[in-house]
Amino acid sequence: MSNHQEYMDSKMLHAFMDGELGGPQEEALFHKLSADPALRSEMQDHLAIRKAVQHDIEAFTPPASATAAIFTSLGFTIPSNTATAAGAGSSFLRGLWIGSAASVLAVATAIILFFQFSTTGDAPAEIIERVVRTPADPVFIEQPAPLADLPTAPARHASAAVTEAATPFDAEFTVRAVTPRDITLLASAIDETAPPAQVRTDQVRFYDLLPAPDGVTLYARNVALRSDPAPTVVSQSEPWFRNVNLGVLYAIDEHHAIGFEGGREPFSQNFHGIEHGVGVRYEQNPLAYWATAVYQFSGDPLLPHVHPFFQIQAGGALELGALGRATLGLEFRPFDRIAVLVGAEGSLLLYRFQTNWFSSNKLGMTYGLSYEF
Amino acid sequence: MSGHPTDNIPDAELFSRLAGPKDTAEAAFAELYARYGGRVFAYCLRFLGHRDEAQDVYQETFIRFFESARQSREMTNVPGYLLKIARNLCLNCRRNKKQTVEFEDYQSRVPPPSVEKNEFLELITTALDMLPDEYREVFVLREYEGLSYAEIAEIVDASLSSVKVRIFRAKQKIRDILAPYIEEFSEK
Repeated sequence: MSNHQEYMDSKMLHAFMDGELGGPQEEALFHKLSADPALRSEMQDHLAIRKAVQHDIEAFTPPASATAAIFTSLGFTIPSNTATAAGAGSSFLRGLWIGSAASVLAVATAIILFFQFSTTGDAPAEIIERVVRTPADPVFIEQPAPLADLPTAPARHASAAVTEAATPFDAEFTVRAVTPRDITLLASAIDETAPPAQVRTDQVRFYDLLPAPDGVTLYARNVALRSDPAPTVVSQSEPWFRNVNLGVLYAIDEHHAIGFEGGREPFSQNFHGIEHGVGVRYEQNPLAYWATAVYQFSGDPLLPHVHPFFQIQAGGALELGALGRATLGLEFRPFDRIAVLVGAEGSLLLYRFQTNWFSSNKLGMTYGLSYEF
Repeated sequence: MSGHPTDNIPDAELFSRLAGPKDTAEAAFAELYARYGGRVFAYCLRFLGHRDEAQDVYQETFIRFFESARQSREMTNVPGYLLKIARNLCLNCRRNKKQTVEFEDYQSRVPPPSVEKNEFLELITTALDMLPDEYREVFVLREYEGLSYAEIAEIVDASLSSVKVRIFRAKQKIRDILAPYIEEFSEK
C-alpha cells in the first residue's frame, strides 16, 4: 500500500473518530479496517489516547482559589460547591503547611540553640570578676565592692571592660598582700555551720564548658526500610553509615520537641519521560544525603520508663527531591539520660523528571539510642 | 430530586440575565460558571501547560466574559465565546512569555505535583507540551472540549480544511511520541 493511501486512510479514520465522516465513506473505512491490521492498530492507539484524556480530571477541575478570586472580584458570593474543591485542595495545603511549620520549627530551634549557646558562653560578670582578681601577687579581698559599683560594661564590650578594670585595680578594692597559708588552715576558717547550698562544688567540671543547654537530646538510629518501588539496581556504594540517622532535638516542653535529623540512604526510583521524541524509563537506586526538620510528640508513660512517641519530619534528599518521614515508636529510658528507641517508620520522597512528579515510598523499622543533656 | 432553579435554563437566556439586577446576574453567572468552568480551565491548562499561568488566564476569562455580558449583547454559543476569550488571553500570555522565556527556567513551565495522575496521561500532557501552539490548541479543543471541526475553525479563525489538517497532524505527532508506551498502557 502506498504512503499516500495510508495517509488518506488515516485521515478518514480520524474524521470517523471525530464524527466528521459521511455515510458512504464510513462504509469504505469499515471495509479497510477489516482488512488492514495497521489501520486497526492506529485506531486502537487513538482510542487509548482519547480514553486517557477523558480521565484528565486535573484539567477539568478549576482551582477553588481561582473560583473564589473570580466571584470575589465580581462582587458575588463564592459558590458553596467551591468549599468541596477547597477541601480537596486543602489536603495539599495541609501538606504544605506541615512542611512550612517544620521549617519554621527548624529555624526556631536554630535561634533557640544559638541564644542558648550564646548565653552559656558570655557570662560577662563572672569573667570580669575573675580576671580582675588575678594580679601577679597573691591577694586577699577583704571587702568586695558592691556589684553596682563595679566597673562593668554591656556584655558585648566585655573585653574592653576587662582592660579598663584591670589597670586601676587598687582604685576599686581594698587589698593587702598576704602570705600563702597552708590549705588546712584555710579550711578551718570555713564556717561549718553554713548551709551546704552555699558551697559550690560544680565549678570546674569539664562538661560545664560544653555548649549543651538543658532539654537537648542527641540521637542516632538505624532504619531498615522496604522500598516501593523495589530497587532493581544496587546502589553505587556501600558506606558503613548508610541507613544511619543522626539527629538533635530540643524539648519545648514535656511533650513537644523540635530539631533536625540527617543521614544517608538509598532511594529506589522508577520514573519515565520523553527524550528526543522517544519515551524512556529510568530505574535507579542512588545513595543520597538527606536532612529534615523534626517535630516529636512524646506521650505519657505506658509502663514505667516506657514512653510512646510520634515523630514527623520534612526536608529533602540532596539532588533528588522533597522528603517526608513519620515514625511511631516507643522510648525506653532505663537510665536518667540514655534511652533506647524502637518504632515503625515510613518515608515519602517526591521528585520530578521533566514535567512529571514521581514518588518513592519506604516502610519499615527503626531503632537507636538517644542521650539527653 | 429537584435541581437548581437555573439548571434547565438555556445558555442564551442565562447570558441575557447577566445584564440584569445583581441577584439575577449572580445566579446566572454561577450557573454558566458551573457549566463551563471545567472546560475553560482544561483548555487554559492544557494549552499553556503551566498551572499558574492557566489560573490567571482562567480568572481573567470569566471576568471579561461577565463584563462583556453586562453590555447586553446576545450570545447563542456561550462556550464558544468563552473559549474564544480564553484563547485570545492564552495567545497574549504566550506572546508575553516568549519575550521573557530566555530568562526563565524551563522547569518553571511544569504543572504542579500530581503523584496520583495516570502515568499515560502524564505522557500525553508532556507530549502536548512538545507540539507547536497551533497544533496543541486544536488538539485540546477537539479532544478535551469535544468541539466539531467547524466550531474549532470558528474559534481559531482558520479554514475548515486547515483545522482538519492541524488536528490530524497533532494526533499523529502525539501518537508517534507515545508509540513506545501505548501498547503497555492500553493493556492496563
